[in-house]
Amino acid sequence: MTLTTTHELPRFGLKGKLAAEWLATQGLQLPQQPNHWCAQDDGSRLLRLGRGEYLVEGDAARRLASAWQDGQVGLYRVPRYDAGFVLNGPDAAERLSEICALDLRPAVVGEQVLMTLAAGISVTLVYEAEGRYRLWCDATYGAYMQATLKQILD
Amino acid sequence: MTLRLPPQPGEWIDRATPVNFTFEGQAYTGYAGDSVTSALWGAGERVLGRSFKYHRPRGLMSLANHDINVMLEDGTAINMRGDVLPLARGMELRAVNTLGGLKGDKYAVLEWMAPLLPAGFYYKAFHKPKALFPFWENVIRRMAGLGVMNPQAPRGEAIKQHRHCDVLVIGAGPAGLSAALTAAKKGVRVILADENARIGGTLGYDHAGQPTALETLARLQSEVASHPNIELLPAHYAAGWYTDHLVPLVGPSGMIKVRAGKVVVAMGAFEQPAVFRNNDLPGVMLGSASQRLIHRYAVKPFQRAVVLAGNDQAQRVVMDLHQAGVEVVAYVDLRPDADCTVIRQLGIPIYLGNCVQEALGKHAVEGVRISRWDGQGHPDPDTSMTIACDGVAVSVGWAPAAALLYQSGCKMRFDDAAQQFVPERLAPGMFAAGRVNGIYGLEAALEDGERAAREALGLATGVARAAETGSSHPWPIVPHTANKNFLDFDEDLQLKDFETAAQESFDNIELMKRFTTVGMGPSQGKHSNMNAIRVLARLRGEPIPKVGSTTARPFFHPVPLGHLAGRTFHPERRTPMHDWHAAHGATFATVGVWQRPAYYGTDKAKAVEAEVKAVRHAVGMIDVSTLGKFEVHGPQAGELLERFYTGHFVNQRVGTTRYALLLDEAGVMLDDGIVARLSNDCYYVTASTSNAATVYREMTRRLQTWGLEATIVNLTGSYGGLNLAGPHSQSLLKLLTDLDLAALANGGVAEGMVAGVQARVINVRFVAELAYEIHAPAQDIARIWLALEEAGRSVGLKPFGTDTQRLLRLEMGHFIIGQDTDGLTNPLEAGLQWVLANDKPFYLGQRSLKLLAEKPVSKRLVGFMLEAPPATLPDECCLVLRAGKIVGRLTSIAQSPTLGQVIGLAYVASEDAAPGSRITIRHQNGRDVVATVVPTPFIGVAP
Repeated sequence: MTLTTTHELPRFGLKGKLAAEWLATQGLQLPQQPNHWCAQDDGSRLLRLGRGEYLVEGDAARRLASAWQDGQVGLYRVPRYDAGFVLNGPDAAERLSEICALDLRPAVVGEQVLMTLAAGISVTLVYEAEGRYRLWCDATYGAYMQATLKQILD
Repeated sequence: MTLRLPPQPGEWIDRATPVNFTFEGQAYTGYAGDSVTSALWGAGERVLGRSFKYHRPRGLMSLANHDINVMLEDGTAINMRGDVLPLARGMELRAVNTLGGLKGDKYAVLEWMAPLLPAGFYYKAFHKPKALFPFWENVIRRMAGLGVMNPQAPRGEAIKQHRHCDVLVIGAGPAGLSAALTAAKKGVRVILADENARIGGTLGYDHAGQPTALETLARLQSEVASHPNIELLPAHYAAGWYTDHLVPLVGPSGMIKVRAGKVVVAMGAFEQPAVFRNNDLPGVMLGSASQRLIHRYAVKPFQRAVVLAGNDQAQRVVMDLHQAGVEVVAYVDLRPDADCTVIRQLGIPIYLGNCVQEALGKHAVEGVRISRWDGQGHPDPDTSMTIACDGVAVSVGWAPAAALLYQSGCKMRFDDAAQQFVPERLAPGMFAAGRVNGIYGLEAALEDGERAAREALGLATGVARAAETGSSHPWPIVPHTANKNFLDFDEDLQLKDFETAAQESFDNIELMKRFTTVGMGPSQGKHSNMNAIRVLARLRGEPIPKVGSTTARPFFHPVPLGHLAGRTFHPERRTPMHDWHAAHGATFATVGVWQRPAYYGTDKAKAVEAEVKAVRHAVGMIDVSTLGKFEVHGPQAGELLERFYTGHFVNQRVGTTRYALLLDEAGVMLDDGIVARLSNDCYYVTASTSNAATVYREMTRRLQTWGLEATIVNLTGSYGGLNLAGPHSQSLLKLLTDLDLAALANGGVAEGMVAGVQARVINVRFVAELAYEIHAPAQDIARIWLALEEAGRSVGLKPFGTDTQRLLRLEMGHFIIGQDTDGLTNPLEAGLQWVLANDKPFYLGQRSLKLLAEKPVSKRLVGFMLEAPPATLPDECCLVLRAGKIVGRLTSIAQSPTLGQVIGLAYVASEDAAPGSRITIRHQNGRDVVATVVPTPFIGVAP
């Protein structure tokens, strides 16, 4: 099992009724359903966090930040300050089951974005590939979550 | 003496691996795979524990995880059940609950006092005189108890996990195995759990002298082990059922919380003891226990046995004992007409229509006295005879392991033919199979497991096969004038205790349970509830269905506290400047989940005084990143805030801030903060640290309820903040920004660059007359902090913490919601009428406030100064009295370094709210302290 931090990856958050339209015009692929995610051609990830809220992580986030202009009605930027983690290994789901009550089996999670509690705090969790999960939490909880994940992996 | 048998087919022990251990200081050797009890019994030991109340010697009873005769401790762990505790090399074990060791337990003298200690004696004997109750409580607790906890024991590392499955099958006996395989073959995910270390249930030990069932077991084991849809969890017991089929499975290393789509309960049945004098003497054991001893651990239970029968199962026990070389000296059947053809061929003496009146012996069975009886509890003394033996195997009946069915809301009925409770109506998603349904035959159990699984999958609907008749005797209870005929082995309850309870009118099953404590010991009634119900039914002259049964609540089986604790997760939140605070000597305080500097240094009083001085005479800086921070966007953002808070915000000018007060529907103050208008359709809102999540959640909920066109963005974590306060704050900040700070006077807000960072600057006078809050993205806020620290050195800038902040705001006369208010405080009491915009049509809590406004306000929050402060200040929450009556309480108090006075806030009677009034505070030492009501802010108030 390995634990990697991804705190430093660029992220771009967006919210509002025009958010999907704007992201599409920027050339991003969007999940059809709320609370799902999809990978972009450049390896970035786009997470649909609700009906009208999105998080983009990776190089695409930089491009979006450059293209962004304030003051657009129905389109609001969400400043992000996330701690990011990648758990990798055949026991990842089982280890995560110590801190998260949801069913994390790949067949169940699929491409869903799970916004839930883990170890008592709000997290966002996705299954990425065999044995690999990505997890985000507010960076103010970053040290706590990192220590907790290390504890369950040890 | 060793009672170890030659190798038995399917035995659990590994004879190639001897295991040395000690028990009560004496050395023993068993085998890997043994339980502690099997190893000791195999070594010829008979007394393995002492009873709870009378300290009677106890031996092996169920050899399952169902009774507590053998409770052990090793100096670290307590109350380990020897019957299922795996033997390990080097174990140093002792029995719990003894004084001077197991064999010479001095508390055994209590047995002679038994006539003075009937059930419920302590309800009557020790409540007067009241002063002596603690003394008696200590004595009783010391003499009647289980293990003594070692507070120095190292912390365990029990793991709690979550699992999910389509079908959870509890119990891996024939019915459970059949159910699991049936479900798995249909493609669903199955978890199969069993409390035993190995699966198989009765297939592994109930052989009736011919181990043919082992072939069936091997086939099922192989199928289960190789099936990809089945996760097998041996050594895990299901401790309870919770809503939506959440079932905690408790195992050796922790707890697995299973969320199942459907649950099949195939937990079997608990074999029930017979009630006769000395039925707890070591050597009296359940028939199934003797079978487990033989087939699992290859230990001969006795040399010369009497088998007491109340059903046909007893003859299977006889055959197993006979095959193991035990001389069965008598087969005593409570029934007058049992068919004994098979065992008759073995040449065993048969006594039909007889009962065991009593077991004989001091520390172990040396014989039994039997006699004819009428089957209804009336032995014929004229026919009594004594039979020498060293053990009694009892097979008289069963009680279903139906706790989880009860907990899930299943309706049970008493089946007269089977003499057992069986499910009448199962709860949705719950299914039962095997012995809980009263089905005991092997083929029938396999069939019933399959049926239950098919029903669980919606493939069939039907009715479980009828419960089998004759598996339980209706009255396996023999009275005796000398008593010691136990119904409840955990609590040493005798038949006479139930008769006493009924005489005293505790003749309802729930009342009797509480008066006698039947079923309330660690076994939770597994061996006592059924017999207690039979006794109560007879005492009341009613059938068993009229008496009913009790529900064993979750957890129905004891769970180690360490398992419940698991690993401890204490969420902790750190601000972006946390490392700086730590490096600069901050003493941290936990505020909600946040770690915040309380002050800098180790001497609190000195640190706070110096920090206050800096803010009042130079400049100070505090990290306020913990505040709730939200942006509200959209054309109806102002409307949302207008309804949410008590004030006006639609007409608020851009570039200004307003105080925001949040009430609940009852008009109680929930939170406060500020609303800054950044543009026509964007507001920036703050909330208090401890209420940030609540305010965001409630605002989001209200937005959806009201259907307004607005969007809320939560910046609590993604924006940091600091407060720069003191007379030099403006000049210092000016060094780092081009913003017109003078224009921000009286609560202005502006956005611009501060130390090269895009930030929001707000004039907030919470801790000082001149102060600025600077908010910026969390990634950047530390740059502003560091720049201010460097630039501020020349003007005496000091960082300050929350302890100082509390004192500073008190000097400013500001209250804190939660500290100076409680769950009932309304703004009329807190003097906040000026925040209530009652000219608008609606805000949260407005309706309630209008009603409150029609009544006189009985108490008000005011500032005060102590006239002659005592050496120790009154604590917060000390009472405020008026003519000897409580009228309020003190909410904040501190020695103000700025004023040289003790100041505070308190609720006082409305008549005393005017400045100059004198109030009386009842100090925690019981004396009264006088204070004078003064106007706030305190700063500037003449002493």
